[in-house]
Amino acid sequence: MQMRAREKLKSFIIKADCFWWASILLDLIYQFIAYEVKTRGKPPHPIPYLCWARAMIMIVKDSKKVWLIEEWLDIDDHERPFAKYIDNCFVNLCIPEMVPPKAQETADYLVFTQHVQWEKTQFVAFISDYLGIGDILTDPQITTNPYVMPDFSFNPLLTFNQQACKGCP
Amino acid sequence: MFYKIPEVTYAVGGLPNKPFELDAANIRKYDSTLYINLSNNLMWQGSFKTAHPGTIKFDARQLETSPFTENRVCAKQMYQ
Repeated sequence: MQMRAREKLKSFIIKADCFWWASILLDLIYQFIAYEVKTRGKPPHPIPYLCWARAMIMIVKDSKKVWLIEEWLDIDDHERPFAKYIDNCFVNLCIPEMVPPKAQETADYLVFTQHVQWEKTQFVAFISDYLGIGDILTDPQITTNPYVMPDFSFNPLLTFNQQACKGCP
Repeated sequence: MFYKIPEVTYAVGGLPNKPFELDAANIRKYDSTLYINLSNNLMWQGSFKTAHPGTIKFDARQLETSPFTENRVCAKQMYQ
């Protein structure tokens, strides 16, 4: 494989790494919720059940081409609009106010997930750049604490804004 | 060759401690053919990557295991 193709593969491997971490960190949330529901009972509001778009890395035989293949997501601007919920630079919501209420609920929930991920990983990592359609999220990025994981820092964001989480006192 | 990025469950103390590896034991591999129209007018352009709609035709022996609904996919390429 030539240098350019190797570099390209490396960038896709990082992307795959992000999907890998994102699936673990989202599962952490549902395990946390299951535990809390068991001990405290059901919360007063519905819990969005989200998942990541299925993804593959494709390497073309006898070629230098590498692609990231993701599940096709059907967009419906009214019922299932594409939404960017939280940026990878700021931890506040970045969705417009006019999105459907369900998207707003999802956005609030995603802030909560970041808070729990940050706390439960002992301030190691949380998912950033949340975006997606309906119940499917895509294209995750992982923000890691560079003091804890200096060699695995995709997008260091040193402070987590607890005020953004509506579940916090 | 297609390498499926696995969905992994969380275990206490189980955060990955090394980068993703294509040859890891839990990576499912598929022999498949991707049909994709790379013309510019079918391309979507995001901030960091471009994307094209397409379909995958999996090897007949793997049809029942296709992870994609109706084999419809989106092929993404990073900018260089």
